[in-house]
Amino acid sequence: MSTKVPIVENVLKLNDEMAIQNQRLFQQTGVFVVDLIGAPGAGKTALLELTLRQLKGVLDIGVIVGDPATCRDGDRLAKHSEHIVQVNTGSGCHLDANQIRHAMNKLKLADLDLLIIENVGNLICPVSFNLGQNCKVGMFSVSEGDDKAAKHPNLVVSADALILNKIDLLPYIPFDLECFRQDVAHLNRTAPLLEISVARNQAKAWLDWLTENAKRPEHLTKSN
Amino acid sequence: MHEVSIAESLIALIRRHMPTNGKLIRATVRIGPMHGVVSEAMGMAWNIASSEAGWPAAQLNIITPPWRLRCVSCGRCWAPATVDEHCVCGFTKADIMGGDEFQLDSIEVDCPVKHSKRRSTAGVRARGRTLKKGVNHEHQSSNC
Ligand SMILES: Nc1nc2c(ncn2[C@@H]2O[C@H](COP(=O)(O)OP(=O)(O)O)[C@@H](O)[C@H]2O)c(=O)[nH]1
Ligand SMILES: [Mg+2]
Ligand SMILES: [Zn+2]
Repeated sequence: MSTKVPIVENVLKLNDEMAIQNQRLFQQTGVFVVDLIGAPGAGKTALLELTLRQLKGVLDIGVIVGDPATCRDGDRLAKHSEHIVQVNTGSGCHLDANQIRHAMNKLKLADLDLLIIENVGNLICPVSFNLGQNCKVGMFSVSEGDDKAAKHPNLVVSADALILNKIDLLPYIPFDLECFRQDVAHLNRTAPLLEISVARNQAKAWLDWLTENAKRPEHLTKSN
Repeated sequence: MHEVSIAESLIALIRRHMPTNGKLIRATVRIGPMHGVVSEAMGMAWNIASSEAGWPAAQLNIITPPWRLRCVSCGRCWAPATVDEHCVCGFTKADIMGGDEFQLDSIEVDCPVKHSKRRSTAGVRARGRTLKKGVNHEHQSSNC
């Protein structure tokens, strides 16, 4: 005899439960956690290199960086901080809460003010997996084209801040900035859009947003 | 391909709700277009994960609710073809009211002993076309 059992639970409930445990550990050690999500090549690692350089002496920052393979990003970042953990996901297209749990055990969380997680380059999969972060930041870049925010609504809606990198390329690439801004605002009325150029060392909007929120995390309510 | 992780998570979640010695016949999930889940890929991932779990015949019924937006200016609710559609009033900002669903709705279990509580006859019946063996896919019509 067959029976129907109503359930109504989040598909990724098990991951969410682990994320809540991570979040508790982060809270206990007083570290503010950012999940940085963007396509491969958007400039995530470059932005983190800049961030580690510029905020030296202001905030103690650790990074967990996820890539399918290699330790190249980890090596790049290790030049600027001793608190770097590289995670290789193999065929996995995102980081999950369990991987973060293992990675954070390798860090001295009590020494950190801020932990940035560079997620695997992908605009879809990482969005659904909570890691225990305080906020999600979605990163796009001019060279990807002006339609990418509209095509990836989940990331735009879930983000507490959005970054548009490589604005130095605006004169050379057809990119309708007004259209991009409108798409972002259409889907997310509260997240600021931070327009930056890591290559030109112009990332003040991001650095200000980051330091402001790392010091006053209660401002953010969206993630978790 | 986060479908593989999703299928594995789903199986682990279902295990929690399975009565002892029960056999899974069907699971019904409700996944909005927001999550970028491809039904074909989900079907393949499900077939592997459910076989590994010991339920090779278990079907996955995927309900896809439509996008639903509410205009921030005039309050109109509508089901846009794509999520970037603006309201007819011309205003460009909207709240997402539907399309972001991501839940396991119910399971159907064959069990020698009757399942304890939580019995229900209500719920959504699958009417969708069969995409591949073991996977049903249903697009829901909208109302705001
Ligand atoms: N023109 C330009 N190139 C950039 C900028 N930021 C990063 N890049 C380049 O984009 C490429 C990818 O950067 P990377 O940090 O590895 O991206 P990730 O895959 O997102 O981590 C590198 O060649 C960077 O030099 C920028 O602001 N402008
Ligand atoms: Mg990188
Ligand atoms: Zn309107």
